Amino acid sequence: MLHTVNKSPFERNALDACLTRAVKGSAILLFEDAVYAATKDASTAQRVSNAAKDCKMYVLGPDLLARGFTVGQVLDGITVVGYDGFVDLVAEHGTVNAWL
Amino acid sequence: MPGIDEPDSESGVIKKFMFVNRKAPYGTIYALEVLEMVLISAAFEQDVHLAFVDDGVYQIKKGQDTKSIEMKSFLPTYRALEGYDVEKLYVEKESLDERGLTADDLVVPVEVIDRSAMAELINSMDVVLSG
Amino acid sequence: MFFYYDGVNNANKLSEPPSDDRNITKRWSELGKEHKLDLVVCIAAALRRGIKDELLAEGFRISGLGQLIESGVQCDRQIVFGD
Repeated sequence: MLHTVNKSPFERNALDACLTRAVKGSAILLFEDAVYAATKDASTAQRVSNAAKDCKMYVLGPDLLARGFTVGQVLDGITVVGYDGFVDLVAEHGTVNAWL
Repeated sequence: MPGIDEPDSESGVIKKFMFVNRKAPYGTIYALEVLEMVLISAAFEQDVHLAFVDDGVYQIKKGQDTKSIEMKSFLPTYRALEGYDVEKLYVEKESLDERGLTADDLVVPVEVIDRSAMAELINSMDVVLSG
Repeated sequence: MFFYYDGVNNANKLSEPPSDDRNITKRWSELGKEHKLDLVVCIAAALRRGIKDELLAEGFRISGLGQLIESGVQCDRQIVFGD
């Protein structure tokens, strides 16, 4: 299953709702305002890094750049993808579950 | 129910649908709009599951008196779900605990499952629609 | 494409963002035309938000929630974008 999170972890609890309910081996894509959770210095770094051990984590590059972050500021273990990568992820996984 | 197109019963495809309720009732319209989706789905003979997690558990709490806020209560609709063959209702234990609730506080029969069981259940679905 | 919740606002032809900003409604109409997409707007959510049939931008059409469930049954993949 591919899980998507699009809201900032500081605005609402969708990220934690996702991380605590994604089974091992799932894929998780952070996009729109959720990209902040992919950054090294945010207070979410520890729990996102932990999640990246059990789930394949991705972050949408264009949304990172738009918000002033570079690929170098992304946590280890999170793969940066473009829109085409987003489409590939959807094609690869049978079901997509959006945490709004 | 008026206004609903007849489902294509010839296709015979039955998928596991899950509607995940995470929002509290009444403060926003979204919880009601998820419930409307659930009702419509009943006409399509799919394998419908309803999950209540986080604030979603508040939607089925007993004793809601909405007269003073002049809004329609969710409770009659939830009670009627059984009549629509929507009977697979799951509530996450941790979400209840965090809110100081138990299954006795809920207005409909539900299966209370823990977070890891909820995760596995969600993972087994074909289509997930969240609100 | 199925427009539900606040997504129905994408279909409002009266939407007039500043000229130097994106016009999302117009982009949907163009995308729909270019790729022959079915842009379906949920009647219940639309009416609730004051979006009536005559206010729909080009390429959008009104239908019921059943269409969303039906597409979930028939499609290989379903993605939800929302607020």
